[in-house]
Amino acid sequence: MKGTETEKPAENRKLSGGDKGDYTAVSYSGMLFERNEIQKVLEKNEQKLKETSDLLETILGNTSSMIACLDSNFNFIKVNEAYARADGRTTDFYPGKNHFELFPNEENEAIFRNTAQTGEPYFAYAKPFEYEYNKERGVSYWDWSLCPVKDGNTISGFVLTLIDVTERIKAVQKVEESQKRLDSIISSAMDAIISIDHSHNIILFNDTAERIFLYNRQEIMGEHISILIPHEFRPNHDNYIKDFALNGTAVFKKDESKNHFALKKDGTLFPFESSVSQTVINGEKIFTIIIRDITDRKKSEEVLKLNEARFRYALENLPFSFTIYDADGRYQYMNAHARQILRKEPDQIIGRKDNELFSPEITDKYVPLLEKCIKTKKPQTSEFRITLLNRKMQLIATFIPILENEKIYQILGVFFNVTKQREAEESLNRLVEDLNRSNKELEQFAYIASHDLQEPLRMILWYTGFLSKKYKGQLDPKADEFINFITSAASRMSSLIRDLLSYGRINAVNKPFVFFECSDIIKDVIAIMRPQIEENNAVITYDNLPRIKGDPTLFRQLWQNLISNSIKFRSNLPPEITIGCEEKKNKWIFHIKDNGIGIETEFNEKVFEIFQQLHERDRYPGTGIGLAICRKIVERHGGKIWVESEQNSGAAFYFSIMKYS
Amino acid sequence: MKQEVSKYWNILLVEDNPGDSYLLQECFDLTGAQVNLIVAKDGRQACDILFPPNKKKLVELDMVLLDLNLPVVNGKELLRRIRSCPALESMPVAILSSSGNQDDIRYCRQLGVFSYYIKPDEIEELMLIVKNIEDYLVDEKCRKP
Repeated sequence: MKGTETEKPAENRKLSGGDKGDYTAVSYSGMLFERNEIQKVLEKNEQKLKETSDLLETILGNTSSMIACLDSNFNFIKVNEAYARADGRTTDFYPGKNHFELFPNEENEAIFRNTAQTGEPYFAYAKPFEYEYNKERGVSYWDWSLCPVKDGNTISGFVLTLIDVTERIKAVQKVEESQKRLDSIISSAMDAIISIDHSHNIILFNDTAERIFLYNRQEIMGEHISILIPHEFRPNHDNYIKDFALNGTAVFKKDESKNHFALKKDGTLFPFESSVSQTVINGEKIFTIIIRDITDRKKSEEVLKLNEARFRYALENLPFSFTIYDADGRYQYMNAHARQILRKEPDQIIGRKDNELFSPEITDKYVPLLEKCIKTKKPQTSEFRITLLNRKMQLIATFIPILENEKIYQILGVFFNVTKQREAEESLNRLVEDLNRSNKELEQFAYIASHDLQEPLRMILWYTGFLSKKYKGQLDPKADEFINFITSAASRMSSLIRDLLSYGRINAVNKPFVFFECSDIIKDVIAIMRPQIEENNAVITYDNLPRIKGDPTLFRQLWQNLISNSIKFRSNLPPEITIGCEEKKNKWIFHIKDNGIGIETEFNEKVFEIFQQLHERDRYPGTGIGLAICRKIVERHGGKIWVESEQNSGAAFYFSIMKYS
Repeated sequence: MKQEVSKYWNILLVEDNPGDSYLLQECFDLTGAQVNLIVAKDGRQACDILFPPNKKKLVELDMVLLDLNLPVVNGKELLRRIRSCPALESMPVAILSSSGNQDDIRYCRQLGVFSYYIKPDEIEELMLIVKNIEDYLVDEKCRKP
């Protein structure tokens, strides 16, 4: 404390440089005055100095500016209250301490030294400063000055004045930042943002507005808002803005009507949605309009409407009944076909349930199905007979639930009238049944008839035979010839009957199927046919024949017929016959290939028909039943028979047989 | 030898078709065999001859030739009755039928027939059957004293 007091006069002296000059002048002139005069002046001066000093002290102590007096080496001489307070200290801490030892800062030290050298005061405005030992305070901003105190030509010290402007600078920065944010929001907004002043002239026009309206900002600024409004709407718009200004509240106007269009620079219009708000800035009303281009939405709405219309049109004209129910089973829609059948108008059925519209005899047939569909949330189909307005009908009903978030939203009902189809099916089934029965009867008849035909025929054969045997040469020579005619005709008839009998027997005799080895059957057949085989020098090879299930007697007949055919229709070469089998899925495919005369391709199907003979009977005797028998045997075993052959290149017969495990 | 044992053989022919019976007799005659066909037109007539009520044989039979397809009592039934009659235990029986049914053939063989002939179409084949029957009768008489 004392130190401070004693320093004060020194400081005062230094600070009041002008007075000191006066004092010096006095001391020189003092020689001319009397001693008490001098004393008086001195006292007066002393008094004056004290007054000045006190005044100065008061100012320094009460200013919010921070002031420090430094000597020429930047050591503190004195600081004011504000200075010490800002630093968190008291004023007596500073005197004698070096400024840059307390606040080291190279840049500032350079400025101080420069001032010391040039003697020019230094002024800084809003200069940023970061205090090395108190970094958490962050950057602070200062207006400061450094004024040299000159003692003649030499600088005896400095007055450092500081004003903390951090708050002010930060506030300015904040405003700038928020302005920037706002600008970026406005310019990047999806919607056009336009502000107009009280005369409805444009004062803000964002990037989106530029893009939508095709104007650039420079050309539109200051223009009247009506430039963006189609001519026919301009009067309305002015009224709207006026009303809005009077009303004073912001309303969001969602455009539902098709009549709201805005005008682009190129003269085209587009549909929009907008909201308007007003603010008062400096007593002046400013309107801000946010505009959204809804062209795309309008387009997709139109496409949707068009699709819906198409869909409705299709449903309405379907050639079967189609209905839509709500989740409770009330009619929402019924197409023309259904309305026509039920003789109902739309207003009679919409919103009603089936049981409110029809009698139980009708609803009992399909309402339970509809209820099941509602309950299970799964499509349901059923066929039923119904009598509607005295018309008997066979219907197939299908109910399809339309779900939204697991809940039934609607139910589609489809009703097919299958009366005609079912009737046709029934009559077809009856026909097939009749046909099967008459086929069976015919087979039975053929079997019995041919069996009974055998007896008288045998009589003819026996007696003509006996006649020619016993009376050969005793009769007229022509008689022997006549007897021969009778015999050969009766023989042929006998073989026809025999073949017909075996043909008829295939289905008439219904033996249970058993398992047997095909190769055993082939061996039997070859043994039976030995004379024929040897006579023709035929070679028969077979391998890999499976064990199959069927009627072995029929199979013996089948193979005998096929092998016999291959030998009968031989070429000039000795017959070579190969028999084999391949497995295919659930079937066995057998083949028998020969090197005979073959069959013309066009007859490849015909050969299996009964009584079909392709060759003259003299050369190839036969009844024309053999292959028909083969086909019947194969069909009886659930298979098919076919031939692949060309004339003069051999024949390959194939047949398939069901495979049993 | 053959001449010594030859005599009239009595064959019971059970056959409903008179045309067949008549021609068979003609065929036996043509071969020169001494065969006398006693014809029964159905099963009942055959039974009257085979199983006479007073057990007194009307005629000494050497063989029975059976058709299977007969009215009243059919051939298979008749064969069964013959085979179950001890008195007829050694009576030779042959079948002459138009049926070549395998089941019929098996049935008859099991009961005991010396031959099963299927009526052929050809007269020559019929002559072979007739000769075969004649040969059997000759051989049979040779075996039996």
